[in-house]
Amino acid sequence: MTTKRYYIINRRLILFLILLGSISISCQQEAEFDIPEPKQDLVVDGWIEKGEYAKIFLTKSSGYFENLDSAQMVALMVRYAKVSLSDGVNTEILTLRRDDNLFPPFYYQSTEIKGEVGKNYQMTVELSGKMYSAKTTIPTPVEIDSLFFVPSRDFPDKGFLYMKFRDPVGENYYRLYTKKLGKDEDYRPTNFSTFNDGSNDGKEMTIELSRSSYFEKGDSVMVRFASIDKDSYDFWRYADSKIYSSLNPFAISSNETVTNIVGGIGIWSGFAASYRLIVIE
Amino acid sequence: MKIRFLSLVILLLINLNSIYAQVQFRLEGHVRDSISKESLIGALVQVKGTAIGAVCDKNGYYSIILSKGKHVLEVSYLGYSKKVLEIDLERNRVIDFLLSSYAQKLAAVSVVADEKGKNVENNEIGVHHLNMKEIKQIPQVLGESDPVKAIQLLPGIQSAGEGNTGYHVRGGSIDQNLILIDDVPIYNASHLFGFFSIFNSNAINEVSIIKGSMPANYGGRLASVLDISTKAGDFNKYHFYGGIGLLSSNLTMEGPIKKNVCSFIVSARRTYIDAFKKVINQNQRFYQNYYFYDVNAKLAFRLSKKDYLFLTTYSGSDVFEYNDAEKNYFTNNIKWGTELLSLKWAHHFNEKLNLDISTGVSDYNMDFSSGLFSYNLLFSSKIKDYSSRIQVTHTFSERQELKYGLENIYHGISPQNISLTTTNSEFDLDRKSLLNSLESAAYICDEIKLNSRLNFNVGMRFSLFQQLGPFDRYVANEYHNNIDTISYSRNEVVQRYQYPEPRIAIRYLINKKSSFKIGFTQNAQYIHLAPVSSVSLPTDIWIPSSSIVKPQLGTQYAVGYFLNFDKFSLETSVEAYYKNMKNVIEYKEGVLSLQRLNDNYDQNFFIGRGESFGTEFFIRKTAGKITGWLSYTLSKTTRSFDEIEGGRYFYAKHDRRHDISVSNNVKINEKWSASAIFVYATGNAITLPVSRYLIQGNIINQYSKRNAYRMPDYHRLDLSITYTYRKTERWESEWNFSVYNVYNRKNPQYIIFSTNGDLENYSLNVNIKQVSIFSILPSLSWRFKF
Repeated sequence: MTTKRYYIINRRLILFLILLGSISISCQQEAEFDIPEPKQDLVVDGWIEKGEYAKIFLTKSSGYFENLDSAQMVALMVRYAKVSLSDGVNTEILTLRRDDNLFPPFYYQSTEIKGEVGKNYQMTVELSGKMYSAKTTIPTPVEIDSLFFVPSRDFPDKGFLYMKFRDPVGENYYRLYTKKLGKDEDYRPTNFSTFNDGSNDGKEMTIELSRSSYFEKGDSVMVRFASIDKDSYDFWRYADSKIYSSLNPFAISSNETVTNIVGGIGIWSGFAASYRLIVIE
Repeated sequence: MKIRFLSLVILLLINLNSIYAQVQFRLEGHVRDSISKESLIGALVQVKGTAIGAVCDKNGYYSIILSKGKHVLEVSYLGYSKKVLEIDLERNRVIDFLLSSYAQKLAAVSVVADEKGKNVENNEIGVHHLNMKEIKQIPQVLGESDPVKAIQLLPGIQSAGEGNTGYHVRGGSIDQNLILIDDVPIYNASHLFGFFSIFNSNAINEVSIIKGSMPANYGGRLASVLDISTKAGDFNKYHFYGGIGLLSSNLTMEGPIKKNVCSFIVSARRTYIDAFKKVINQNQRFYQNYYFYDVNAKLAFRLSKKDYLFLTTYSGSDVFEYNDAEKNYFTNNIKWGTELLSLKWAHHFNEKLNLDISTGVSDYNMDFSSGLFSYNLLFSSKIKDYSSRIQVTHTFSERQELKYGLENIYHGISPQNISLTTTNSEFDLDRKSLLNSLESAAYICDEIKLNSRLNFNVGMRFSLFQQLGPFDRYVANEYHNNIDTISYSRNEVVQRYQYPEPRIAIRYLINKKSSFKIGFTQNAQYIHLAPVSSVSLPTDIWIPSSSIVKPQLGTQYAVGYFLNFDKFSLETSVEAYYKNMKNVIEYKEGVLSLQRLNDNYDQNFFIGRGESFGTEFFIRKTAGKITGWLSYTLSKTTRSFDEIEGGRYFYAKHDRRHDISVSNNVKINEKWSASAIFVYATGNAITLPVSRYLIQGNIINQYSKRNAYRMPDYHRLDLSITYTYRKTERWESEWNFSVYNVYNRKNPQYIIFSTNGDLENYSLNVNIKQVSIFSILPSLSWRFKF
């Protein structure tokens, strides 16, 4: 099975942007025409990882054409909701926390319930008399067998990183992240980070950990290989494609919304990850 | 059904010949311009007061079978004064007609007010012919007359917008237009992002656009045929003419190489914005340069009285550079162009049989190189077509003409070749993909005058498409790992498609002034344009059909009512159409940003269907002080893809509810004339973002339903004044002053959203900005001819 893949930013897009960019700089002006009515939804961005406390960020979506100053921006952060978490046996009300290094700085965290493999977690938000809820499961984590580096043919100091693992029998969904130690603040999802075992059920698989830049000799790369549930898989596939297409002002985007939040949008995701470090020499 | 249809045709062939077997003679000859001797394509030779007659072919040749006795012949051609001749036919005769254009003879010949419009009597539905005289009357842009700009003023034909290279015909996509130069198809018909067409008006004889009932001798596209025939040089006299404008100039030379045997014409154009580049780029951080040129040349040989041979070439290119001033940080160079060579032989065997054989090659190339420090990315796209065509025309009688022929086009398309060079090495980022295919067709069409009122044009085209090897089909699993490869060797058939394409047009003459026509056509199209976005550019890529991307199929129904008012030299018509299209393509969401290199070229598309219906109103004034036309189109065009919103039909980007064009020319006196055009069109449909939200530091936008919103309406007025400085038999010179976009309407080419600030700084502003390319643009040019 070949696994070598390259990704490049679409060259027609580059070409197109350069062409139009260069002839249009001087003739932009404000346009006036009908714009869509803004709509506001509650956005849940929450997760519970194996062995960790649950973390939930609550915000509101804003109209695309609305201008936001700091007061309006703060108003989009939901700080007065009642957020509860249940693992089927225990229920707790999450505590609001603040960390100004984060954006948004407010989040809700559990203090008792930690993620356990195989358990279901129900999250409920009560806000202005309305209820929002979502369920997730923490799947069994899958071990990383090995990580290996393949130098590029043309730049021997740079290259591609691959991961080998054996897929357990049954439907499995994964999300992959990498973090260059000392360079990245947090884990970054790879290109095409979200995948499933599809026709390779129960087989050994090799996956490229692709980023928009090369891995280089001297990098220490921490890999996070998360097993996720089907709802999370569907959501991240959707979100990734939206994020990619937002890079291209001329891409056409569909109006579908994927979410597992009843009454709102966003994602409530349980996961269990394997971590492994590779030092590229 | 097909068998029945064919047997009907055969039956008619047999019957008509036996019914009209009385004493008949052939009248044939050529119709030419009285001064330049150029053939007048489409001139009508007609027996006065009847529907019997013939339309001159590409060589100005006509042939009519008439019964013995006296006839009054009328020879007419738009823009020329009519000739009437009484003849007594007692044997086969050859009569050549020389017509004088109104312009030449205006002083001497009064314009005949009751010139009969051809539009009522021919059985063409959804067809317009424009000669260069009409095209030149339309206000010029930067001193250049442009046939493609002119056809966009006709009903049912919409400009794709400023900065776009194409046009839409009756709700069709840009790729559904067949563009032929002397029977050879070409792929990119524009310079400067659609602002100029590649057709140099001095090298063109006639422009026909077929948007409705395509006769069976045309095919390979769903929506329209733009048939451009280039001019042959004068066989007797030398002429020089040209124009000098602020930004471009053109020069044409024509004349005999050997009198009455061989002639040439060479016509060239070039812009010289780049001559001012030092001024433009002075003290700029970035260096921009642009120019285009094109050269048309044609050799015509009169081998014998019955044989003509034509050799046509075209070569044109656009060059665009955008670099930093020192050229050491980044460079961008784009060059695109078309080259064409065509050889055509026309032979008149005898009075009943004519043969046309043509062969040609056309080559479209787009090269883009982008450098950043020592890296250089080279991207190129090529299409090379070898085409050949043979057509036989039988004129059985004055009431029946049969055409049949064969056509072959071998396409070699390299949609994307990419290589990256650095100072010390070079490697390909992509497989060099050359996609070969062979498109063949056999056709037969028969024009039958059943009686003085009823005229049929029935035809059938059988087309066959074969995708040929070498080709590798990659089979990938759902996360894009290649699990298998199927290889096809050279010239092995990868995929084959074939379709019958029936065509019928019927004209019923209600009286001399009015007629009713109906048309039905089915077309198959085997190559597709994969547009990067809503805007069409030279960087767009053509792809052939394959097992995944199936051929586009179209069906069109059209009806029309044609009415002329002789008193005011008015031709009017109302046409209505409905058409549906299958297997239209659109890029899948998201694939534009990241492309995987071991995918096949055809895996990135949604495949769907389209519908369009509309009504077109057309009023044209052909004679008098004021000439011109007014057209209005009311239409609706939709598309549907299973994967988009559950297959809901949504408005196509180019759906235009209203489209109005007015083109006017006023001859003030011998010296002065003025012209104006006004266009108005409903704005393009667009999809807008509705709201945004934040997930793990990423902003996700939610969008409206597909194409649920509209860009602002498009409208524009152009004016032009021409002053004829001197006009004699030997020397002509005139000044033209024109203004494009007189009231400086900022028509948006596309819309961008500029975001200022960011979330983490607690401030976010979104501005909707429109980018308009062409503001008010005056130009002055001087034209001469001797």
